[in-house]
Order: sequence, then structure tokens, then C-alpha cells
Amino acid sequence: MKTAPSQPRLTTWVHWTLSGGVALSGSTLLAGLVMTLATGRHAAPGPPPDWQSLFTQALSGDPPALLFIGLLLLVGTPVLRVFVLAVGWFIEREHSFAVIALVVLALLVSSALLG
Amino acid sequence: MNYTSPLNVGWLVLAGAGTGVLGALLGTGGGVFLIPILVLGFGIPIHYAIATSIVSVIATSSAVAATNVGRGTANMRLGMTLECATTLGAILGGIVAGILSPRLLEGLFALVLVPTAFLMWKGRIETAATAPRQAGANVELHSAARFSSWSRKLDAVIIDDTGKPRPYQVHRLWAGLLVSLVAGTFSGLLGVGGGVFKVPALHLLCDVPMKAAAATSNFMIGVTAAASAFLYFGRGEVRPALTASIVLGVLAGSWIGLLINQRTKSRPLQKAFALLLLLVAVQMAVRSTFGRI
Repeated sequence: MKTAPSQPRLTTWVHWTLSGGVALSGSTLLAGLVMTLATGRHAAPGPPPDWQSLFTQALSGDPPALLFIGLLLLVGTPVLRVFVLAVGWFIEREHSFAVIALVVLALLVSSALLG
Repeated sequence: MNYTSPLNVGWLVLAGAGTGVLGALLGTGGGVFLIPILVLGFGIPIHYAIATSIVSVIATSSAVAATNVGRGTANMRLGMTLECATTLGAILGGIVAGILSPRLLEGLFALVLVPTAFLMWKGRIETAATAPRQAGANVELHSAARFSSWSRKLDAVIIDDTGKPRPYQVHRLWAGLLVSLVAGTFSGLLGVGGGVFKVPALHLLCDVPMKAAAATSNFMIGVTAAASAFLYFGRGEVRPALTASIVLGVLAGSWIGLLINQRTKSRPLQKAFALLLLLVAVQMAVRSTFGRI
């Protein structure tokens, strides 16, 4: 993998965070979609249930629960990327950028709480 | 529409793949294509289409950004700085989505896109003329390092089309922040990635090279969309089978688009982007004037 001259370690972290998040969420969604096609089960209207219920339902073979987990993993991937950059910049003593990342993270958490 | 029938799932995956290719090529989330396809082509309610688009642009952004960051094309410091504005805008847009008239917003969208397309086309023509100024800016980079302004911390290097490293300086950060706030708001309101605003602004106003502008915009789109996605999840507008079908298609399409993008030079990309903006402007103006079809 060819990287820019600056911050190769951080770019590697971000690369693997995004790649891993997409791979994990994509695999979960694919499994959920195959199960959905096999069973034809729909999700009930409304927002997804809490995480504990989602995992319980997914373990019992509920396709919509598996799909919701995959989608939430996908939405969580860029959030995790912001966290990784905040930690990385803090370690590399680029405190001003670490603070910027924490501000973005706080806005994302606020949105999650509003939703 | 039954989102779980095999035939419909197949068509939805194909639609997602098509928008994924375009998103990867143009540095956008592809939402400008996806929402009309879902609403007009599949008859899906607009609020479900917007929610689906919001989640799918996260898939596009994450898949493309993973590669762009690895190549060093995306400017992460600039992206994170601008994300403060896009995220704030996306939250505001997501909250206000249910208050303002979509037709009013679509008309505003069309009005903003027309001059942006014009500037983008003009920028393509002036590329050769501005090349000496850019070369001069490169020479000034080392002497400029003594200045500790925030913008200088955002300066970066991109590998150009000839394979040579090309340093660039970021100018007029305030303009980038302002456009990012507007782009984030439109992203939260309409489910688009907002790249149509950010890429030309970063290139024309902030002097970021076109490919770096597209990569940095894509880098930001995931976080911007995530900010409003939580609100759409909370309102129950994310339908899992529908969204999963589109997302899986988008991921496949993004991968194909990246392969094509490696063979695409910046100038044709600019030209295609200007035409894309005009097409989207016409589409939005028609919808705003005559109502939803």
C-alpha cells in the first residue's frame, strides 16, 4: 500500500478502521439479506430496538435484527474513524487536531442521543 | 413495495451498484442519483429514500475513503477541520427536515448548483493558465512553514497524474467551513452526500487540487451522513431490507468505480462534474416547479 510521506502510521490505522468496518458490516448485511430472502420476514415499522434486544433477536435467527446490526455497524464505522484519529493525533502530540476530532465526536454522540 | 422479494432485492442491488460507481468516480456519495431512482423508479416514499441514501453514502464514503487515505490522496487534517461544520450542519438539517418544504429546498438546491457548475467548467479551462501560479506556490511552501496559521497546518502533498509529489497550500479556510456547513445541512435535509458543494469549493475557493478535493470530500461524507443517520434511525425511516440491498450494491459499485477512477485524469473528472451539476440542477428545478412526479 502506497502512503503519503506524512503520518503513515495514522493513515494505516484509518485505512484499516474503514476497511474493517465496511467488511464487518457488509458481511453482516449479506448474511442478513440471505436470511431475509430465505424466510421472507419483514421488519416491524419503527426504529430499531435497543442493542440487547437486537443481539438476542439476531442470535435467535431474526433477519431484520441482523440487518439492523449490520446497518448500525456501518453507521458506526466513520464514528470509530473519528475516535481513531483523535487518539492518533493525541499520541503524535498534534493536540489541536485531537481536540478538533473530539469536537466532531461530541457532535456525533449528541446526534445519537437525539435519535 | 415488498422489499424482501428476490426480484425487487435484485433490482435494488443493481440500483445501488450504479450509484456506487458514480459516487466513486465523482467524489460524491451518489445520493443525487439514488433518491430519484428510488422515488421515481421504485415508488418508494421520499422519507424512506432519503434515509436509505443517507446510510448508503456512508458505505460509499467508507469504502472509497479507505483506499484514498491509503494512497495519501485525502487530506485528513483538512477533512476533520471541515467536519466540525458539516456535522453541525447535518444535525441541523436532520432536525429541520420535517419543518421546511422540500420543494423550497429543491429550488434553492438548483439555484446554487447552476453557478457552481459554471465555475467548475471555468476552472477546467483555466487549469493551464493557473499552473505557473501553482508552481510558484510550491516553491513558497518551505518559507511559508514559519507561519503558524491554522491553514498552514493543513498544507499537504498529493501524487499528481505524472506520479510526482505535488505540495499544495490550503487558502481561504473560512470559505471551506462556510460551504461545508451548507453542504452538511443539505446532506441532513435531502440525503445527499454534499460532495457537489464541497468538491468545487475546495478546488476553486481553497486551491486544493481536484483529486485531493474529491478524496477529502469523500473522506468527510461518511461522518456527515452518520450525524444525520442517527436521527433517521430514531424516526424509524431506515427500512433494513431496502437499505441493506442498496448498501451491498453500493459497496460493489464503489469498488468498480475505484478501478475506473485509477485511469481517470483530473481534467475529464472536472468536466464530467460540471455537467453532472447542471443535470442535477435541471432535475431539482423541475421537481421544485412542477411538484413531485
